[in-house]
Amino acid sequence: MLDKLRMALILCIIGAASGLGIVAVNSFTEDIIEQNRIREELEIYFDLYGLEKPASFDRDDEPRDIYCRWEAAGYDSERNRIGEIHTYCVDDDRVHERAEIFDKEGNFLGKVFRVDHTNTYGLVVTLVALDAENEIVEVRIARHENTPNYARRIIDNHLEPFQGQDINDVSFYDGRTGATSTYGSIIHAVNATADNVVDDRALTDYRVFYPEAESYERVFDYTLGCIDARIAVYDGDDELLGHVYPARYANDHEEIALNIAISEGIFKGVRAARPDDRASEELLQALEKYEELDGSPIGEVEVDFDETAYDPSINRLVTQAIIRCQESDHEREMREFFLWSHEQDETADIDHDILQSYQAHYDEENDLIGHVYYGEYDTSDLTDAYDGGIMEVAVAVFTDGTISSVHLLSSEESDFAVRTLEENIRVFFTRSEDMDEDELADAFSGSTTSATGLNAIVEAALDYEDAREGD
Amino acid sequence: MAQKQTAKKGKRKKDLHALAVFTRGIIRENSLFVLLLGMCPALAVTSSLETGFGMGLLVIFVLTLSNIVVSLIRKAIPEEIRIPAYIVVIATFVTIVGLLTEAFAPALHESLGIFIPLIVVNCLIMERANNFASKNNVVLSAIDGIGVALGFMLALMLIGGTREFLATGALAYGVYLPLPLEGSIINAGLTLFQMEVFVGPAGGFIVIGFWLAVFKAFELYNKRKKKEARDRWIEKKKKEAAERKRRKAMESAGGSA
Repeated sequence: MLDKLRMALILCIIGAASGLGIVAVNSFTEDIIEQNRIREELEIYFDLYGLEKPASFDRDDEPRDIYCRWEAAGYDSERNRIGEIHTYCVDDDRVHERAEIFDKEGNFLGKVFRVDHTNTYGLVVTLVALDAENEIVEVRIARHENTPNYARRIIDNHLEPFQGQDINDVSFYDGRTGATSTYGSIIHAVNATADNVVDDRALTDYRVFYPEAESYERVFDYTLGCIDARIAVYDGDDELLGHVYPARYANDHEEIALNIAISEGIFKGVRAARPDDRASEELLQALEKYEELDGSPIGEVEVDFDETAYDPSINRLVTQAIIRCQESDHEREMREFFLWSHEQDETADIDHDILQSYQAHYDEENDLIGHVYYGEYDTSDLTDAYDGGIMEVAVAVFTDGTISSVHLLSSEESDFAVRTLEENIRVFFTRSEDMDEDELADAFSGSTTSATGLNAIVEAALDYEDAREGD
Repeated sequence: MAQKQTAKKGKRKKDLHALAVFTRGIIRENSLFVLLLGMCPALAVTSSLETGFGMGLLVIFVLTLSNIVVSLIRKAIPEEIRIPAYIVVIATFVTIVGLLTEAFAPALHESLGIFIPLIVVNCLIMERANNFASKNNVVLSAIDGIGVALGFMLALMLIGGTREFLATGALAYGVYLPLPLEGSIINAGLTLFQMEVFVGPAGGFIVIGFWLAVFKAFELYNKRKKKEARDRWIEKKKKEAAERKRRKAMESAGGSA
């Protein structure tokens, strides 16, 4: 027993001595390492935008003294002027810092987002540099703890294609490249940057209606119709200021994107969602007329302007926003299947291999709109299934046999398969009122087991609706 | 007088022993090419002469200091906890060397990446701690650490230099290490004959295989030479014995006559 205690004591002493040694060296090198990092990142900032480095920018200088940047813990919330770079902390879980870059004349050149991401192998610090138009100047790995050869391959071969892409519409590589952890961290960084840019722009847009706006939350995403979502806007004390309804509609001239604000029954206004320099002059002129509605109770808002080619579209979007803001939760749930659904029958069972039940939906005049079919499919029985399971899908079919919407209710497949399927549903089925069965078969690829299951349920629903029509 | 001479002989013997300990790790018992220990960094971080040199320096630091500490505490460590105790000692020096590299040679630190912490599990260091430092005094352990690590560094530089030259047609310095000058040792201008495969792991295997073959050939050549020398010596001894026998026989025949 004493022997064992002696061994434990010896190990403890060795461990303590080891710890003390490491602490001593760490306290000596900590500041130097931090300064190295700052210097490296600053060098990258200058390099990214082809800026001439200041004369004092030298390896022997103390960057902390020159640029007074980054306090050791928690960044200064105020903007610090750092040569030609302003940096400040970003209140975001993913983006850790945003730097605004100016040239010597003070012209705004763009922003650099620093994203720290820890993957399976360790930390990857990525800098995503954007120009003033939000196009990617360059994506660069500032430092990483991954296997050098793998990271080198990504740096040499797979970062250049990001250059010139719009941050709001970045196309990534195929699975072969994306299979590495390092590249996964790059995608994470670009996505985080894109979200941050969108959030930043959105908040600027919302401040047009609510000047005190400090944050916002996406309350609902709508599947059907022209209104994308309901956004709750809050002030600095997290008090609700009102709601904004982002809306999109493509008319003969352009795809228009508007924000419509309504707060406690008061219409706060309708504005172009894009920055003014990207919205067309005609649209901005058409919207000026709607400013006279600002501050009206929604019951008194009459959107009957019809003087320009844009008015019918704007009228339509404002009307839908007003309907959305007045609808109950039950109505909202029904309208996930059919936009104008007003009433629905009880769910009735079906004796069918795939379909389990259905539900009839009616409009305000009590006319039948269509049926929602609930189906179930077990993809694990498929011969090529490596990751199968039971999936439940709801298919809303109009009485004329066209699809209103498709919803994946549950799936036992992998997260990746589910994400892919949801993306396919979004692309092929949402707002696809015009799509008939033949087009559907062409459009939707059945190459995966989950897609095979989904197709089977959709086809069964369309067949059942056809048979019902025949009856 | 006789005692003085014996003491002198003993000191000389000790010096010779220390010299042998130092030199044997460099070529005769080279850890990489002869004992095949520490192959992981030899493949991973030898894409250039300078990274090989840098890794070698880190190993010299870690191996020498861990050998010294292990030798110092060898009598206090019970047999049962030798391995965990040595691992803690080695890990401490690796962490320290990692921090120092990150502070003073960040480019080298970035280039070696995860292979710096992996020095902890470099079997070469564990082998020397367990088989030599735990049985010898501090001075010999330190000499052994420097000698073996020097041999390891030279091997890494040989592999790194070969790979870099074949891949780029040049040998550079001052890229990763904070050296006062930056430039090229050799620039053959063989840009047309660059073989990028030697930068990657496949090139590492090829170059290591080549140098292993060279060392093996050298070893076989030495063995053959030794065998030939021994054979010649045996032959000579046989001849001498036969001569002695013949002479003895003649002498006995002459005597009887």
